[in-house]
This record gives sequence, C-alpha cells and structure tokens, in this order.
Amino acid sequence: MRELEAMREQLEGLAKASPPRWNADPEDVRRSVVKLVLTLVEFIRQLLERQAIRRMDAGTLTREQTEAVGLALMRLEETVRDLGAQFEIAPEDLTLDLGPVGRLM
Amino acid sequence: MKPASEGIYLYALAEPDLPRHLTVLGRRLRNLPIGNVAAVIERRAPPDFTTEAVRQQHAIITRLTARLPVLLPARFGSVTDEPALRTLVSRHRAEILAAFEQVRGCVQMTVRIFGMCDDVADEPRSGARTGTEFLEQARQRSKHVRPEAGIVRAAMSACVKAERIAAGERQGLLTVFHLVPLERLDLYRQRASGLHSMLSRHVTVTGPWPVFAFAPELF
Repeated sequence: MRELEAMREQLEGLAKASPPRWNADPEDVRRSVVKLVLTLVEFIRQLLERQAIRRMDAGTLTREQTEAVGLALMRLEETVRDLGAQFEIAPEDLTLDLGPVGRLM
Repeated sequence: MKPASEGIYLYALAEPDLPRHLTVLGRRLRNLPIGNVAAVIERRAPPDFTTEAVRQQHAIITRLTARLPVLLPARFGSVTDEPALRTLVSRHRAEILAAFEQVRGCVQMTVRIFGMCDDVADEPRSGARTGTEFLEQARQRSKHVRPEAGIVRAAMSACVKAERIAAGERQGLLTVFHLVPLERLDLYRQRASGLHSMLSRHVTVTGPWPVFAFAPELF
C-alpha cells in the first residue's frame, strides 16, 4: 500500500513538471545550429589531425605532404575559431554531451 | 568483366605460408603473396561505412587471428589496387617483418581511463607559422605522457611486451594499448584488476583482441 502511494506521488510529480519547450528565438536557433555544425567540423578536423600524426610517426608523409596537410588543418582550425567567435562560442563549448558515453571531444 | 569500382580489399598481412584461398564467415578471401609477406585480400567493391560492416570485418579478423600464428590487421576500409598494394608492402617490408616478430604469440589488451584532467589539451596553442610547425606542435601534445599512464606502466610492465598510448584522444580519456604474450595473460588480468583502485578513476580493461594497435600504418 505504501509503495502504491509512493508511486502515485511520483506520477503526480511528473505530471506537474513542465514539459520541455523548444526555444523559438531565431537568434538562439541560429547560434545552436552554428555550434552544432562547428562541433562536427572540429571533431572531423581532430580525427584528421590524429591520422596525420600517425602517418608522420610511420614516416608515410613526405615533407611536402606534411606541410600541405598541416596548413590545411591549421586554416580549418582558424576558421572554426573565427566563426565561433562571431557567434560568441568558445572553443571549449564545441562539444556534445553524449550522456553515459561522456562528451564528444 | 569486373565492375569498375571493384578493387582489392585488404584485411590483413600475414606470413607467406598460407593457403591460396580462405573462406571466413562465408567470405572468400585470397592470399596475395608479395615477396615474403602474404596479403589477405578480397576482390570486391569498397564496403559501406556501416556499423554492421565494421562488425563483420572485426569478426573476420578475429577468426583469422585464431587460425594464423601471426596476423597484422589492416584498417577498416583499406581498398586499393594490386600495383599500389605491392608498392606499399615493398616500401614497408622491413617494418612489417619486424612487426611479425613483435606480435608473434601476443594479443592486444586495451586500458581506458575515464575522467582525466586535460592539462595539456587546455593549454593555448602557440602560433605556428607553417603547416609543418602546426602538425609538429600537435604531435608533441599527443606524446605528452600523463601521470596516469606512468602508473599503468609501472603496474603492468612485467606482463607487457609493448605499449602504445593513443595519440590526441578526446578530452577526459586516456587509452593505453598493451601487447601481451599469451603466457602472461593471466598475470596481466590479475594485475589489471587492481588498476581501478590505483588510479581512483573509472578504468576499463578489454581484450584479448587482435593486435590492431601494433600493426604498421600502410595507407
């Protein structure tokens, strides 16, 4: 009986809780989309950077290739930072919370 | 005539005394001898990049590892053509033969430590002027050995033949790959069970796996 009462209280509490609402502020939506896109771009950039480091370690990149890949990654990082700054998104905010798995980056 | 998109899909490199054909999980694989290295290949179109395809390749590599004394797995999606594969293997022959000797009779165990502080990752990047400088700085950051890695090394070194620390991982995570001789696997497991209390962090130890982290990067 006591358990049933506890369950009833829990259900009532859930019913009273306000449902999640979508924030329809256009500026906020724009910023959220930019943040998501930049997070994914930065994630891919970091993957490419790791692969480039592995290839440097393995000696499978020529000097010219190292310079070209490094330059491309550097420019991409600058672009991500610049675009983030325009929308007041700090580099450390470029991540996704993946719940129990942790954070994306 | 073969479809234009069909190429050579490389699963692994092994020692040359292999049968010409191997059927693994229903896939007809071929031994392509390249000097004293056997490339385990399949003539096929590139796979779809799906979880199912990755799982299937993992299962094939696991079966091959159980059947062969030495196997160096290739990365998922290693598609090329025969002349390019021959050139790659020839160019890396010494490295491949050394890796055969290193991994013989060994398996890979993987230690992951979660909830790390990212002292290095948070450091501001000093302004690189060239692409080479930029990559070199990233490489130095990735080589930084965190104190936790030192604790793992001290605890496990007696049962480990080689160690590799994953470069530049996502924040809060450190992954250490160990190459463990089969005869020391029980000792390894015994010692690994104490890592959690030594590090006071969430630690996972998985394996034994094929020696993915100790195979040379060909592509």
